[in-house]
Amino acid sequence: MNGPGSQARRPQRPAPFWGLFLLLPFLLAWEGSWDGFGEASRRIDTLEARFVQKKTVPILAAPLLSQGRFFYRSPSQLRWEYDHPVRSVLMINRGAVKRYLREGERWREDSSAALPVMRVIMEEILNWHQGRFDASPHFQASLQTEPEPLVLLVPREASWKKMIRRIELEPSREQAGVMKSVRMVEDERTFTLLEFQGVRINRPLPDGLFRAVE
Amino acid sequence: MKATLRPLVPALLIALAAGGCAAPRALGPLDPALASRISADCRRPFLKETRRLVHVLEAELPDGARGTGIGVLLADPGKGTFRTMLMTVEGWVLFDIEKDRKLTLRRAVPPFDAPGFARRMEEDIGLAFFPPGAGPPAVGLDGEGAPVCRFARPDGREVDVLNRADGAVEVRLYGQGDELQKSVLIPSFNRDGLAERIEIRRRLWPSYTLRLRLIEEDAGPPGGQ
Repeated sequence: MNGPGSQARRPQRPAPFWGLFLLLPFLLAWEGSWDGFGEASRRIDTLEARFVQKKTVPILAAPLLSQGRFFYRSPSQLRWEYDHPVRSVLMINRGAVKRYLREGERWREDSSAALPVMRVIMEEILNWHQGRFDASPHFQASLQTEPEPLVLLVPREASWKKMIRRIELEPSREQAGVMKSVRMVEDERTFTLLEFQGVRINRPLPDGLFRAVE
Repeated sequence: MKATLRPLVPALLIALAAGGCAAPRALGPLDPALASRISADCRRPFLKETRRLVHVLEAELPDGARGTGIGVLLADPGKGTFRTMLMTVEGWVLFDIEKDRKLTLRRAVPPFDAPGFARRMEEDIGLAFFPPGAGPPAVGLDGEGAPVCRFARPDGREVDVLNRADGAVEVRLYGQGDELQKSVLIPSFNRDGLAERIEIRRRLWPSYTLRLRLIEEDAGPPGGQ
C-alpha cells in the first residue's frame, strides 16, 4: 500500500517475507525430514482451502479477524482471496502478480507499493514447491518434533530480525503436504495466525481462477 | 465590456471560484444566541474519549496510484496521545507510530520510512480525530452563510470546522498565508457518533487523499491509552 508522500521509493526488505507469507499455506508435508517435504509436495498438483486470519497487535483488545480462500496450482499459480473485512484478491500467474480490491460492484486493480516486490514470491514458491525449505537465503529453517511437529523459520539477517522474529509452520498430521496453521511472529505482542480449513487437494481448478479476478 | 473580453468572463469567474481557498476568510456576524450551539456542534466530529478504531484505508497519490490497507488507531483525545499501525490486508505491519510527549517511530517498512511521512500521519490523525483546540473558537458565518468555528493553533495556523447543511462536517487546515493545506470531510456518523467514513485530502505537495472506512471500534482501555 502506498501512503502519503511515498510515491517514489520501492520496498526492498519485505520481498522475501512476502514470498514466504504467500507460500505458507501449502506444500509442506510432515514426514520428519526435509526429504519428505519434497516428496509430498511433488504429489500435489492443486490445493484449495479456506482460512481464518487472526491478527494480534498490542493496541487491539482482541485479534482482528479476516477470512478467505486460497487456491494453488502447480507449478506457479496462486490465488489468495480475502472475503472479510476487505474483499481483495492477490493473484500470481506464472510470474505476473496482481492485486484487486472490491469497490462497490466493481473490482479495482490495486497499485500497492508492495506489489512489485511480490514477483520475488515466485522464486520462493518454486523453492518450497520442490521441498527446498532450506534454500531461502533469508531464513534458517529447523525442524521441531516435540511437543508438536513444527517448522521454525528464523531470519538470517539482522535487518530482517528487526521486522520479524520467526515463522512457525504447523503441518497437518492428517494430510501430507498440507498446513494446519502458520504463525508469523513480528514481536511477542504482534503476530498473525492463519488457520486452514477444508483443504482439498488435486481437484481440477480452472485456469481462469488465476488469470481473472472473476 | 468589450466584446473581445466577454468570452473570458466565465473563465475568470471559474478562476476566482477555484481560488476561493485562498480568498479572504473573514467570518460574517452570527446571531449570538446561536453561538454556543454552533460551538458545541463543531466538536461533534472529534473523539470525546479513548477509542480503538479499525479502518479500511485507501490512499490515492497524485499519479493516480491507489493502495488499500488496514489502519488501527488507539487514541486518547484527553491527552492528545495515540498509537497507530498500518498493515496490509494480509496483516503485515508496515508502519507503527506512537505519539506521547514525542512522536516515536516503532516500525516503518519502505516506503513508509520516507522523510516526513510520520509527521504527516500525526497531523492527519490530529486533524481528523482530535478537537482542534481547548479554548472556545471564533464563530461566524462563511461567505456562503454556513456556520464556521475557527480555532487558532499554536503554530500560527488555523482550523475551520464547518457544519454543512447536508449533515456532513468539514475540517480545514489553513496556513499562515490563508492557503488551504488540508481538509477532512466526514459525510456521516454512526450511532455512537463516530465518523463512518473520513476523507483526508492534503493540498500541498506531495498531495494525497486518504479514505477511511470504519469497520470496528470499541472503548479503549480503562484510564486511557
